[in-house]
Amino acid sequence: MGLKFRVNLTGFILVAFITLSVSGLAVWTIDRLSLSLNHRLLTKELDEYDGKIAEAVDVLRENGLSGVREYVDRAKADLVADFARRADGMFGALTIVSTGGEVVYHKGAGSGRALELACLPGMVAAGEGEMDCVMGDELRFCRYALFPEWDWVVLVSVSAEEMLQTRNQFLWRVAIVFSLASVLGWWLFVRMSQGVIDPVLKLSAAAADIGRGSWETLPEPLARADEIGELSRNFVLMGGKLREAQADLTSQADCLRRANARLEAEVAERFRAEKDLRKVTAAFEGILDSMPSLVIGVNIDCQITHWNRAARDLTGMEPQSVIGRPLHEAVPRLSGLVDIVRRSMAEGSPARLDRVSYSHEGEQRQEDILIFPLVSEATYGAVIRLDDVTERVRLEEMMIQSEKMNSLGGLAAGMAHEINSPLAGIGTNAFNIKNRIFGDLEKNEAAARECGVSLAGVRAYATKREIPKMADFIAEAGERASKIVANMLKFSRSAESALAPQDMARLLDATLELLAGDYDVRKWLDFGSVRIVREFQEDMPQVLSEGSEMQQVFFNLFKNGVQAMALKEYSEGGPCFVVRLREDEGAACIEIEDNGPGMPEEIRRRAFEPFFTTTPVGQGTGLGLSVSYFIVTRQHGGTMEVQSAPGEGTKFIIRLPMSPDVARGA
Amino acid sequence: MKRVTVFSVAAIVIALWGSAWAGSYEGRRILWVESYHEGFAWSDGVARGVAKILDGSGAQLKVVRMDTKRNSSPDHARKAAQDAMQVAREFDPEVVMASEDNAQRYFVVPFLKGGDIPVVASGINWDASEYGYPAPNVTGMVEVNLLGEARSVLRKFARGDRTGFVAADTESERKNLEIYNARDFKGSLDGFLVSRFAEFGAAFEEVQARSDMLIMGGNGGIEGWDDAAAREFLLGHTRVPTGSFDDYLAPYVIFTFAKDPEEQGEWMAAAALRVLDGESPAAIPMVENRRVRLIVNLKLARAAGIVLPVSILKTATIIGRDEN
Repeated sequence: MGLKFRVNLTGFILVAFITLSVSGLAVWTIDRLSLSLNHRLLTKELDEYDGKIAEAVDVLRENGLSGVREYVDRAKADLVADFARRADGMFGALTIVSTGGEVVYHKGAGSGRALELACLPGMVAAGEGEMDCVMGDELRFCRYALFPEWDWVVLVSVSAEEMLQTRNQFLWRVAIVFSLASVLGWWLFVRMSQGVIDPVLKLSAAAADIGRGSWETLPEPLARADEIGELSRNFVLMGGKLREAQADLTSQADCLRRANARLEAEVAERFRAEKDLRKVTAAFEGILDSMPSLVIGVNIDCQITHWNRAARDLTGMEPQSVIGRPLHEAVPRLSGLVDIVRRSMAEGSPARLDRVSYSHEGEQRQEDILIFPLVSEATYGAVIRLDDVTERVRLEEMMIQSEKMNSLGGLAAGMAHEINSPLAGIGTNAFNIKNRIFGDLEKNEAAARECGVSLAGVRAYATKREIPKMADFIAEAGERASKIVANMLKFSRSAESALAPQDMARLLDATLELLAGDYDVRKWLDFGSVRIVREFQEDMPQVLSEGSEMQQVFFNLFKNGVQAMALKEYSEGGPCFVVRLREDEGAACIEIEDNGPGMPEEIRRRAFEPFFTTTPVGQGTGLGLSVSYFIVTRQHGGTMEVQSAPGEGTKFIIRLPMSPDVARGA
Repeated sequence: MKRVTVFSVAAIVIALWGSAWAGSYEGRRILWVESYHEGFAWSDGVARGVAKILDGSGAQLKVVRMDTKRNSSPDHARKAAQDAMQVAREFDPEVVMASEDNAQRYFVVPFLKGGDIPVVASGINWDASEYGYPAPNVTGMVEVNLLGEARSVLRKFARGDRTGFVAADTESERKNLEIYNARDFKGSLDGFLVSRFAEFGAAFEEVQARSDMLIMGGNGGIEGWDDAAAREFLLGHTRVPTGSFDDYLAPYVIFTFAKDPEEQGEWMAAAALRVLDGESPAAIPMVENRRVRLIVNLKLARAAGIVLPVSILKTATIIGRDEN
């Protein structure tokens, strides 16, 4: 259904609706008001007649002519003639009768003719008013007025039919007028709507053509001065501009298409690059994450930007909880590193810190720290790599220690072998000296005699000169040296002794008991005041070892700890040994830890060296720890290490293989 | 909407223009040179007409009265005209109004006609050409008797069309008779001019006998005029409808078709304002008076057996009713 048809139909419906509504209202109103209107019309007409009659009467009266018959008659005649001329245009029929019933004027009847007017007496009596009155043979509604001066009763009347006829005529006229008005209104609506719709339809068709891409059918702009004309002109203008715009758009679309192609290629390239970059980044992240080292990236403000998996595993902190935070807040133990990092970034040169010690869960650990500044055109920062080298250091130390001890042990053993023979000669000769002077040997008597001296005199002389004492001193010194040599010989001796399963706990307890009664120990410290904490694994299996040797080892370690704790002044608590025994990865792990003053690193590193001692000369041989070391390592195939730091006590850790094969192999 | 707006604006403009017009002549100077004197009925009527137009206009009106009715000598008229001219020089009017013939004859024609001062004249009897009107700077209203209206009324009560004329035997009445015949009656007006009152009755009877209606001219030149006798004579002898054109003749005729002096004054003042608005007097055509004031002598009418209709009784000025 087209717009034009819809508008015309709408106009028709609208006009019809208005017409019907107004007609209905008019009919209703006319029906209601026609009677009143007729009455008022009659009243008006009667008033008009009355006015003219009264005026004539007044004029005659004013001029003193009221009683002048010819003037009165002239006035009456003039009025009747005037009324008669106007009778056709009046609604009610005019009737003028004398009070005696003589007709002066009656529409349709000549004056002087008798008119049956039954209600005339009532009219004369009332003077004026309205009533239904039979006039002739017809009932009519009358309005009337009496003019006594002229003996006139003037009445205007209509019949019931005329009343309705009037209404019906009115209605017919209304109907005709409304019908014509409706047709005219609809015709005007159509004409007026055409003036709006036709241009709009043309514009719509042109717009449709434009929509189909046809730009050649733009309509001519209308010359009208109204909004439609303006719309037309604007449409044509717009169409022209659209045509230009489309041309531009086409051109731009081509450019855009080419640009898009380039862009797509660039995007694809970029996508590939990003993909590669993601791969590289992932690889990089993977590399970083796969690195055992703790890798931390920081920006120029030393705020953490990278946090690899090792960092997460080792610190237990997730990346999201540390990234963005200042390094010293996230990893307080690295707070001392911030200045170094800043300096490294400022100088653009890497920095390296080896074997930096730190305490982790009560354990002293070492780590190497490498700081690589990241310096580029736009990005400044640094990568901090931390490698826990505790085990490596320990192994290195152990290897060094082992090599060193092996060298020293070999040297000592060699020296012992070399010294052993002279010592044997010294001891033997010292014994022979004493025996050849004071021994009851015939050869002594014979030799004295041969020399011409008495043996008693020689003995007296020797005694006087304390030669026996010297010989004893030589022998004692030789024996002492022999013991030393014997210990030194242990350095080179392999595990040749018979190993038997030993209850290490028992050995440790026995050693502690022995220690309590040791004189040397008591010289240093009241062992009873030392608190002993035992942390022994309950189901600890027996360990294949040489019991006395291991007991000597434990003794040496406890004695060394007692000597150390004796040098410390305890403000609270007091000296304490913590002795631990547990099975750990196929080895028996024995830890003896004291809370003494601890050792500086340079001392700790040399603790197991033979003859290295911190005690005054004569108070120790410096062989206790080295002998213990060789017992553990050589005779038992185990390991022994010491952990210590000043103020933190000292802990000796011994690992003895549970399996002899392993032990031997080791 | 646009039309409503235009109408609204136009209405506002018109209203503003109208309100402005009321005072748009503020200070404009009009000199009125009047031939007669204050208190003279005709002059007072003209003055009422002038006042009706100029009152409220803002124009400054200066009136010079030549008083030539009470002093009818030419010398006085000339002297009065000179005085008026002196006033005009001092007043420097933008337009001059001159009423009645003496003002034209002694003032306008000698001093103003053909000059720069516009002149609007009124009350020029019958023929303005006598003064060379209209002139480039002069226009005006000619004062004529309304013969057509008179004949129309008289004819309603007459038996035929024959008309007679009775008047004093004077130059002006002879001139009037000539003019009446020339303008309206085409020579059919039967005139009878009398010099003495003794001749009047016979003349009236004779004219009445020969006519169906009668016009009575001025009686000012009838020697021995006896007013009471004349009234009594006419009351007893008038048998046809009679009429005249001057108020003072109303007691002697049934119908008097009097001219309205206010019409002269109104037209003259309105034309003066048009001149002040910029119109040239030459562009304002000269006109004749059209308004008539009917006076009915009821006593004479009844005596003549004429029954007047209510329509005349209610519009006309009725005299003679007291004696009914």
